Amino acid sequence: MAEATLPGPHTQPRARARRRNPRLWLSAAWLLLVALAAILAPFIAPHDPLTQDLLLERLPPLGLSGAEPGYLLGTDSLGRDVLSRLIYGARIALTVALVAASAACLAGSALGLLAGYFGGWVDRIVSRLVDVWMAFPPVLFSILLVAVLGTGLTSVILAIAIIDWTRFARVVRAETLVQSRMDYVHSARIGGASRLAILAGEVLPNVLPTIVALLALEMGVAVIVEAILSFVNLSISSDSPTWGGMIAEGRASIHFSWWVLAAPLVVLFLTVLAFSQLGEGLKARFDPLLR
Amino acid sequence: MVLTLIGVAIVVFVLIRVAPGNPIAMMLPPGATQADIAQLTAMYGLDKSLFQQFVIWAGNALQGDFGNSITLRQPVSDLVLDRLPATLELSLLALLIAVALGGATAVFGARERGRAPEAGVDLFNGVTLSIPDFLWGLLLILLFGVLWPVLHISGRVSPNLSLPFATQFYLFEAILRLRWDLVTDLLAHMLMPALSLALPLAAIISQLLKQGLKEVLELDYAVLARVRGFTETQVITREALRNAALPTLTLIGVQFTFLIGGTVIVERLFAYEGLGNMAIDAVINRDLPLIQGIVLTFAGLFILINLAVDLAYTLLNPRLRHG
Repeated sequence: MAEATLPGPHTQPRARARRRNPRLWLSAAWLLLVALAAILAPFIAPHDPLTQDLLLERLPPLGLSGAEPGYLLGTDSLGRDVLSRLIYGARIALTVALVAASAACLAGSALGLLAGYFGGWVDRIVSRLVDVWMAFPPVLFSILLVAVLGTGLTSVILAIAIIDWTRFARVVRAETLVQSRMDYVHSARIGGASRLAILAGEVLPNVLPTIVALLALEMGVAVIVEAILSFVNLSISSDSPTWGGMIAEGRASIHFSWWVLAAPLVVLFLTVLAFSQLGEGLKARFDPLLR
Repeated sequence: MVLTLIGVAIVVFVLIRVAPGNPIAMMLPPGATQADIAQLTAMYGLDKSLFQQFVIWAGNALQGDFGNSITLRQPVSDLVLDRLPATLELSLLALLIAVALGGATAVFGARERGRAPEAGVDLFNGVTLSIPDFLWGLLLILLFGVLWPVLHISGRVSPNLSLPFATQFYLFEAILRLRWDLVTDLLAHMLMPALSLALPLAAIISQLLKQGLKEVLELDYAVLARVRGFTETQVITREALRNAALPTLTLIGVQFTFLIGGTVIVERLFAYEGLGNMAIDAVINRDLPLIQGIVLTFAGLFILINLAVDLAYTLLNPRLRHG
């Protein structure tokens, strides 16, 4: 009813939000493409990503002289098909993005909510932990953790979650502090709701948009951290192709075959950009002031 | 603050000592007896309990003794002090680029506010902000290392040059000695890593400063300056910038610590001989004392920077000044 009677301030931001949407849809489309590639990898990859063929080493991508049909993006120094490795690499990238970011999100948001809502010693402990965590250079911290946990997919995911929960805890704590001082929380308390019920039923839904936006951002971060760990040779074993591993290879043979670096770089670039634009887009969409 | 440092020390200490892989076994030649291993373990104090080890280590650290590196067999403090200047120079150059680039785009965007160029600045900021230093570094390597090879993609300085330096602050000293040939060579090595570190920070500075400028430019004194015949650029640079810069400054502090954290991987990427590059080797070699020393150096640096920003803020903000 209110919306129908108040055309001015309500329709204008909505139109603006819609015009801003292309980046949201473009990002979602790219991520969907990557997800499809990951799921359908065995059916769409033109070659086995691990098959080495020294007769076909360092073939340039199609369109350059010396290219071989059937090897769209060329081959690396061991004669492995770059496109197939990219497609299979999407599997690990997306697994890490989904699992690690969700784990960091769950742990960080829970601690942030508790710290922001209950305050007192809970808040002091969480805030102190966040301070200590922030005093570590994150890349060094993740390398250290993987060295401790041992290499492998689980360690990489664990390391990312252990480091990046602070991103959620900080923001969610601040947002919860603001929300729990709002009138609706007071009225719920007067209405006799328990503290936990208020936290879950009243505060959480209002903090959720922030969490979702952060989650999308964090997925991009997780993809990068996995690539960095693969780059320093601490991630997954070399049997499974990863984008970071391809980058390490491309960096090493950069003067002989630049495309081995360029191909995973472009894909990483677009994926990270898509995740962050998705996060920004979601934030704008959920923001009640823009609705 | 001190609590944070102690916290960091404890976390690293526990982490690297529960790590699998025995650094002592790695030091000895194959075929060493159990007795040899036990003797060396005792020599490094690794046979004591975790708590005892920490107390001994902390006691020594307070006196400036961070132990000896297991793989490089030199005092950790010497190794860290040897590499720290390289990392500091790189970080400061990156900060300089970020402030210059971010400031320039902010002023330009504020002057063109509401018009197409401002949207261009926003788009540029949006993209540079989303992409982390690691990817910028790789992109720059492709662009200026391979496609148009004008810059060096690895190292800090060309190995064939003879260096007259007395300290490890190569760039700083080369400028003081007016050795422009060396300055050029150093910059040709440092520009790409510095730029990759600088780009995301530049975007943050640009966004925040532009917003601040736009707000300040609506105020009476900006209008008055315009009435007095100042051009828009003059209004911004002479009047608005000083007032809009203050909130940006606090943010630069935190962001600068993130930038320094980024040197770890960027130095690795460009084979730049700094602290971060050494840290990665230390982790791979399980060099416990060295890891501990480097991580604490970074943590101390972060804390110092935050302190300096707080001080600068108090000095620059007239409302916080005493009589």
